[in-house]
Amino acid sequence: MLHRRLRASLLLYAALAGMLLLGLNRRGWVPFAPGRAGPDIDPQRGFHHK
Amino acid sequence: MAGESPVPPAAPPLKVAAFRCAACGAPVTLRAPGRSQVASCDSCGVVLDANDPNHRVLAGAVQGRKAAPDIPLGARGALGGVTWEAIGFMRRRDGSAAYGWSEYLLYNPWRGFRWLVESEGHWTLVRMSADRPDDNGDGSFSYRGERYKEFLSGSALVQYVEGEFYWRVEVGERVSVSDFVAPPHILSREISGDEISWSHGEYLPADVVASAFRLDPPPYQIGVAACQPFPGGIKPRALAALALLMVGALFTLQLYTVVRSESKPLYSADLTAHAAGPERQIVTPPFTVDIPTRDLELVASSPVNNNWLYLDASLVNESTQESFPADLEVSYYQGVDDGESWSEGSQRADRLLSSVPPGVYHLEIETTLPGNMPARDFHVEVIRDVPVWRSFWLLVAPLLAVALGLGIAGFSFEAKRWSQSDHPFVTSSSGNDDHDG
Repeated sequence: MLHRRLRASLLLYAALAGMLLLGLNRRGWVPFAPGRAGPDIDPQRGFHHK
Repeated sequence: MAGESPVPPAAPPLKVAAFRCAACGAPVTLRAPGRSQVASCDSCGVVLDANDPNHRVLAGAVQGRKAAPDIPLGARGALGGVTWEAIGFMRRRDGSAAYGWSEYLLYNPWRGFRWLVESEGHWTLVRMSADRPDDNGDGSFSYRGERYKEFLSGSALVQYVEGEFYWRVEVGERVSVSDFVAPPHILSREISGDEISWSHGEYLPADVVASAFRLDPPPYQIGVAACQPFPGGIKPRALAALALLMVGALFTLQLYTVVRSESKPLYSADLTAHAAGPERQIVTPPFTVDIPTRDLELVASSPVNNNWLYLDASLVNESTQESFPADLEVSYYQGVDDGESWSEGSQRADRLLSSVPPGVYHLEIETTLPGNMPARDFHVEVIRDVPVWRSFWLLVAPLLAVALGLGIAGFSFEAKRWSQSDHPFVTSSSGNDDHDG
């Protein structure tokens, strides 16, 4: 029955989302935050390019 | 809607009988002999007494041939594993003649009678109810654990009959009817004189009926029937409520992590931005980012007023030289236009950095100021492990979309259903009824 499948899907999604949320928050992961850049030093200026 | 007026007689005889029409002499077949009270003549259309030895004429052929049944009389079809034969057809309409419906009397010698009701392409299989539903006193009735809400009340007039019936049905016969619904079920109450009869029906998908009786094509469906369930057997309100409950559970988890977040300041300083010269570039003293890996927030604030300050900043790991770029624009404008004060922007700007590993870091900041401002003081702060809501919103967005979509679909479906009732909850005029479908 489609209703049961949808209900099971909702519960499964919520369980996975809950675990993911805890994991992401635990690691301090921020969606859409600027990513880290590699070492990028201007040898003449001694300063990072932006 | 549908009715079975009197209680059908018991004892199923297994035979088919035939007699001659008292009016025209044509053969008339009885498919439920001994149980049928009346039968119509296929040839001349008169209604005959099925039990009278002379099969006297009860009603003349005044009705003519106005209605053609979609299920031919004598056709057999299996519904729910039981084979039924269509033995009677009746066309009825409501007292105001606003709409009509068809009722087919089905017969199985071992199971008795059922009514198959067709209204605007929607089908309901109805049987007489021996139990009397409990009156809840608020216009609803309870029957076998379900609460049935009042849908429609009015009168039903027989327009046309064909075949045989277990009571003396007549064209022009009028009864008071009330329908109560708990989709996919319907309770119908018919009152004729002192007699009250109840019947209980269940919605049947059109393809089931069409397949059972080989209808080609089945009647075109219009609107939503009184007891039609939501497509796919889905209960949209229950699923939407479950989705919102899951949102609540995720919100609780989010609150747990918010409460546990440290929000620990690692570095804080008052600095001065310059418009030109080497002072534009600022390198802060080193500071330590603690174990374990967490997010960091870079915050800048400056008392700018109708002005701006731009900081092109990077958090740089002193040992690996890995950098986290984070530009910050502090921009604040305010004024009064036409007597109304307004403001735009903020004297504070912040930027989140994702999963910063522990280590020793410093900030490198390149400042940019408007041309008319040589220098500007600002405050900068680095905070570790601040609450992050973006993951939460990203993860609950699908649940909220499901809840919203199901809510809208369910409401629209129920609005269509109840628009045909005495209690529509969406009306074009004033006077809404508080139905939750």
